Amino acid sequence: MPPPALTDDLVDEVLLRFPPEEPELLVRATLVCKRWFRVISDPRFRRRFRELHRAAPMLGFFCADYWGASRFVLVSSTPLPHAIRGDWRAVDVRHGRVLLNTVARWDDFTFGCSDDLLVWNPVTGDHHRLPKLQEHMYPHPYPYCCDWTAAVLCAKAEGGCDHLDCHRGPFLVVFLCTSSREAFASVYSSETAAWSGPASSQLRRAQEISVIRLPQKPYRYKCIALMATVDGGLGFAAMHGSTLDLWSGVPGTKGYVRWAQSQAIDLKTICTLPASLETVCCIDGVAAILRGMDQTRTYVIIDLKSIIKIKKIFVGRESFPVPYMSFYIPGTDLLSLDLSIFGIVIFQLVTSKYVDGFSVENKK
Amino acid sequence: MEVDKGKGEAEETRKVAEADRDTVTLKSSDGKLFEVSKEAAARLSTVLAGMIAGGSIDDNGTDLKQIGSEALENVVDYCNKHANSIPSAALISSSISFNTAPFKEPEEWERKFVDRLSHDALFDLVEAANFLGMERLLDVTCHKISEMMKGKSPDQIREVFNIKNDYTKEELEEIRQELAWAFYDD
Repeated sequence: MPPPALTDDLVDEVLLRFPPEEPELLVRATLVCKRWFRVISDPRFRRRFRELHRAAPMLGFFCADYWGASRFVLVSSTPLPHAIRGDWRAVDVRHGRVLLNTVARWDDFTFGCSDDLLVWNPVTGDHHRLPKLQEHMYPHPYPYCCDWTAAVLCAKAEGGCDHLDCHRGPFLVVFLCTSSREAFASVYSSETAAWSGPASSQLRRAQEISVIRLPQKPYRYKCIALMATVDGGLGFAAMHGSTLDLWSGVPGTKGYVRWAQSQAIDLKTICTLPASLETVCCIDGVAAILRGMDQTRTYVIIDLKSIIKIKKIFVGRESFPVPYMSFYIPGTDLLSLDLSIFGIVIFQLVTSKYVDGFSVENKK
Repeated sequence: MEVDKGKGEAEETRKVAEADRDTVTLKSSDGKLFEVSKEAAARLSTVLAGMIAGGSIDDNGTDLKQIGSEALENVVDYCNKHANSIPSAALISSSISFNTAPFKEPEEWERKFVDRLSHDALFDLVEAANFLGMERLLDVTCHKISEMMKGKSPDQIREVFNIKNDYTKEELEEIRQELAWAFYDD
């Protein structure tokens, strides 16, 4: 007797529960039959898939080499459709967007701050180059004496965006620059295509900088990684021996934030670890990336939700990992994009030629 | 009027008696009866919750004509034994404006629960879970089926799930070459 077949209703339900961290499973499922292909390519399926799984999986992370240029290290089995090019370094990643800056070369006069910033989506290939910041933005007369960082954010965050599908929407880039005495911040908006005026630590306006001291007890952490906690507050992760401590900010007296330890995870009980670990990065309550301080430079990735899944990756002498999280579902909305790349987009074109009764809106 | 009132009262009394009971009786398509904790049924199944709230539960066995006795036994088993460890669907979904609760990996006991099922029994249980609006059981059973597809080529998936291939050989070959990364060596 042949095995029973799944009814049409249930095909959707089963495909929805495919693990987002293994996108190749969905790609292979599209080859089973044309009906499965239609289900997976349907925008409603894509929306439900993102809603059901919520947190986008970490496909890999960007690592800077000795000269500062980033390359992509795979964590899942899925290569990104667009490769990062030579002289760019990944500074930050959020909701599928990557903030890049040009790698400063030793003969560059304007070392550091005045490098170009670019917002890029490695799944779709979209990119947006930001205008240069004004020189007077830097607190020190010599730009290379200051330290800076930047973040890319969804511009709809205040309106309650669920960030499941906002990678094409407006975005903000927050640039923060510190010297020994002062800190300056400026915000770029993709909607106005301009940088805001600088907000400094002396200014008390809507944009404001606060200093929050780290806890001194029970340990003085050498290295911490900031993250958003499950309820949207500020938190950080830090290693102490083989224990990963998670802290969150809670309201204290006089409106100040106080730190409270929320979890201590003994990693020794889960797997064998490099002799000494430092926290390098934390993905908002989802995962932590730690780096072994021994010669192997092993990266250990811990799933903070299950605390059981651990991946070890040998990267070599590279540093500054910036994790990349994104959903990656084969489908139709990639069609209107640059088609010169290899990957899902090509797949879409090839299959759409053959699937009868399924019209793909190819606007090209 | 008097008669109508009396009937109304009797109806009311019957409903109260029903509301006092801790269990509900469900009847499978082949006429077998199963008892399930009312609290668990209401918490895990949106359809049963609606029937209990609407008073359409029959003391002599609520007919579930779409569900066979083996599948219903599994549903009842799932509800009765394991109801306590599952948070209410209402509690989860009320927190954020999403339509559904986020998918969580099956727990150890849930894995064991579906692992012991035969292929046919698993498929019947997925259908029953879908029919009864049991989101968590649907998560667990569908996750099991998706795991059965892991590591399988499209050919093998078709074989296991009894699906007819409606692509031509050339179509498949061309796609396969373009997307070599998505395929195991098969």
